[in-house]
Amino acid sequence: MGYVAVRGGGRAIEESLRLFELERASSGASVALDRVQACFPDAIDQVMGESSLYAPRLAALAFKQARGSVEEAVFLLRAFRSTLERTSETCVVDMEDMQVKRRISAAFKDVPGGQVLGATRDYSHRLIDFSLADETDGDVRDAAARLRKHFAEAPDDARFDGHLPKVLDYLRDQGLIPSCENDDTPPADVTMASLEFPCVRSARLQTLARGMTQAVEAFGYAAIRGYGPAHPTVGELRSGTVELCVAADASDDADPLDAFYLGDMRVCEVESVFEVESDAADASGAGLSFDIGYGLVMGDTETKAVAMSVLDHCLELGDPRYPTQDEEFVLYHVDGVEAQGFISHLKLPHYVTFQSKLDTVRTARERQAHAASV
Amino acid sequence: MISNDVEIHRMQRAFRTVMNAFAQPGTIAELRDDAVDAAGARDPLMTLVRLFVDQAVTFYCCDDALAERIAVETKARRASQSEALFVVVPAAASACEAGVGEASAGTLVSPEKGATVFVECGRVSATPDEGLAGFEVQGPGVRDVNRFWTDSDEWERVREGRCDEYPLGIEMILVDGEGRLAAVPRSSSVTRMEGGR
Amino acid sequence: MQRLYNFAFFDEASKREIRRAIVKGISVPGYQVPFASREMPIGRGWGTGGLQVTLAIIGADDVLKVIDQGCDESVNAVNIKKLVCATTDVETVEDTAAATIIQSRHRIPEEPLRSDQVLVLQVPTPEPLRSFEPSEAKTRALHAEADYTGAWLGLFDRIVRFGEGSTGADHPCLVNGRYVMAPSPIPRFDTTKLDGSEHLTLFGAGREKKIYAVPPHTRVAPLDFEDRPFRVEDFDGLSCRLCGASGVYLDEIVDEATGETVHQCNDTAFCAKRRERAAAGDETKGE
Repeated sequence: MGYVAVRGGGRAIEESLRLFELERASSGASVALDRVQACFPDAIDQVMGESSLYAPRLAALAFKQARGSVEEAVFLLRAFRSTLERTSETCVVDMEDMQVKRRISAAFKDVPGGQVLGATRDYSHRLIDFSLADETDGDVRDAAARLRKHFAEAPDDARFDGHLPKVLDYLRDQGLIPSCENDDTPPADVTMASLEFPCVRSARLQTLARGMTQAVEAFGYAAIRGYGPAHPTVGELRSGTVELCVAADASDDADPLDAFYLGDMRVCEVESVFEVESDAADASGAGLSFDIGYGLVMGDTETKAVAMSVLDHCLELGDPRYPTQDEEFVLYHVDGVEAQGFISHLKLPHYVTFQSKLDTVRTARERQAHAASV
Repeated sequence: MISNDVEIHRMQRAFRTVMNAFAQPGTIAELRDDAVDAAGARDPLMTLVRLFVDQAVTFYCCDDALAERIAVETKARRASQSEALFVVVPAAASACEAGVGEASAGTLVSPEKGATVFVECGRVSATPDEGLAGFEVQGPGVRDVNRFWTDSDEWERVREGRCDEYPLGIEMILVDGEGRLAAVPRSSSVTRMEGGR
Repeated sequence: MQRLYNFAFFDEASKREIRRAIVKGISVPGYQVPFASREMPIGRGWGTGGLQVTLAIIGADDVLKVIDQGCDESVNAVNIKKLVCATTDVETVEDTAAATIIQSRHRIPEEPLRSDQVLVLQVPTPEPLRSFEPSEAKTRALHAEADYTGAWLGLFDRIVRFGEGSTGADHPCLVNGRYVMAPSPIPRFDTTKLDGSEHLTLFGAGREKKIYAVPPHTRVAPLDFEDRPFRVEDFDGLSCRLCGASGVYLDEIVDEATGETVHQCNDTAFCAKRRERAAAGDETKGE
């Protein structure tokens, strides 16, 4: 066994990168960013969400450069984000003002405003669509025209203007969810200062929202399966676009009507309802009431939003028996870039540390051998 | 592929000067090319402000006009003297009235929340001179003892009067109009030299 | 979509944040200052903490040396150097004496550093108490109270079980009599170089979001017991097969031709310099 640092690293890296580029180029095909954006919107959403950077075109470029690896695309975009100065902050968005494309409630069949199933693959059969194999751009355009015509012929009462009241306001009005004051404390930003424990809720929500999608889902799953609280009910899931504005001047009393409109962003918001024991002093006197878990993610990553709402509630409870309720366990480990980096660093040389360990193990063995022989 | 901006390099040089000053407390370092004010005069105090203060932190300055200028230029939020992460003491103000005594010492869990205080002096010197007060500094960063002189000893009296217990405390940077500066971190023990030398 | 990167990669606000942490780190030696830790173009755990520190302090006139496991040409060292050069255009060297900033993973160079040099160490696991206390909130409280019972018990436990108090690399040290600090996974052989050094050492942990420092002339005492004193790796009687140096940290390698175990300097730049000097000396003699 030899433990010596590999020399000639510079050339090795250069050649390795060439080989890697050859693998990419060997496909003999390239894809335009417009196509990436048009064909893989869900991947773009996930990349932007985990990167905490709304930049569809850059996300598409990162996705292309990463050869379709979401993890790698997030890595690229996050690193790019480190070079950007924060010039201003957007005004607070009221989710009730969302231009809703889809809104469902698992709690109430007849919610005010109704259930809006919208576009979802929830009730599709996951059968591979072999017709897509030979699909052309023309086919796609034809399909679009056909479907537009279909929806244009829909009866008027099937249309809605995209504005819906919030489902949970209904429960609040009935006194089933304790109403609370707005907390106008400026939110923490975990990309500007490191996490401090116990966490403020804004830091927790932000960490979950930018967490690795599959990790948030896995922890959320663990929580509802048995390593956490009871089964939640999705009070409301709403998905659509919200307007983002920047105040004309930074003072607190700036007129919101003077704000500059930046654009729309697609988001998905989930409010889950959990049954909890309430204080006996509650006006109703009943021992049970409801608590809310909150999820909000960029784009249309619905499962992540639901899982986030579960974890938000878990972390609010903070029962040390469950890892899903341990802030440090959940928040430190949902970050994709950190997980990917530290796991892959194990591939780096550790010659010096291993030499040091060898020395320690040998000395300890010698001591023991010596002790045994005496 | 690099965007080179003069200001970026100026700030980098200023930072290294300050960093070295903190690594060797009580030695005199010099900001060679610091900021100039509206009238074109050198403004080393403002260089320190620009080096560290921005929208992510809070500051306190007893001089309202200067405080306003700092707030506008750096987008930092003003805070009370006991909460601010940075305390700016212009030469015209005394360290007492400028809130150095009340500045945050941090907490045992977060000692880094102790304030950093910029004190503008009439003069900061590596050698004794008429009318200057002398100080001996010992602690981490100092081999035996470092000595330096300033025109006023008020900063030291206020620091001493705080009775901070390490690792709580404040960091001080003393800077004069020529850009000469000395850093006194909380880990330093400072004693006034008898007779100024 | 052409775009320029800033000098030293970061925007200025990011640099300010790191610089603020560096100043606090120097002012409270051995204390881990939390910082936001920007995401870097290299992986978390691959030296992003050291890289952030280097980029926050580096200037156009600096001369940079980067080593990984004692070697300038190791793949990761080359990779980090490439990134810093691509965003700063600074000069890089292998000669330790010629560098103003030395970023290193797991080693401190053999050649003693001077007061005008800064050593930046990459840190994977900055918390010396982590092995017995997984919670960050709790370890912070332990540092606040200077309660290092756990660290001592850990060493004691090793002695009882293995008769050997020394850990591998990354042996915990008491800094300035106040904070127990992880010196990063440098071998115990290098840990003693931090004590009362001439140079400033900055530690950057990117993934764990901590920066800490050991200023020059600061007491750094490895934790040990009187009857089981701290012991550095044993290279007694061994020397480098290439330059003949002894009293240095040696790599253990197998000579493939003979099957024998042989040793050579781990610090490759140090070894090369010695051999160059020896060769030059021979030439002078020959003339």
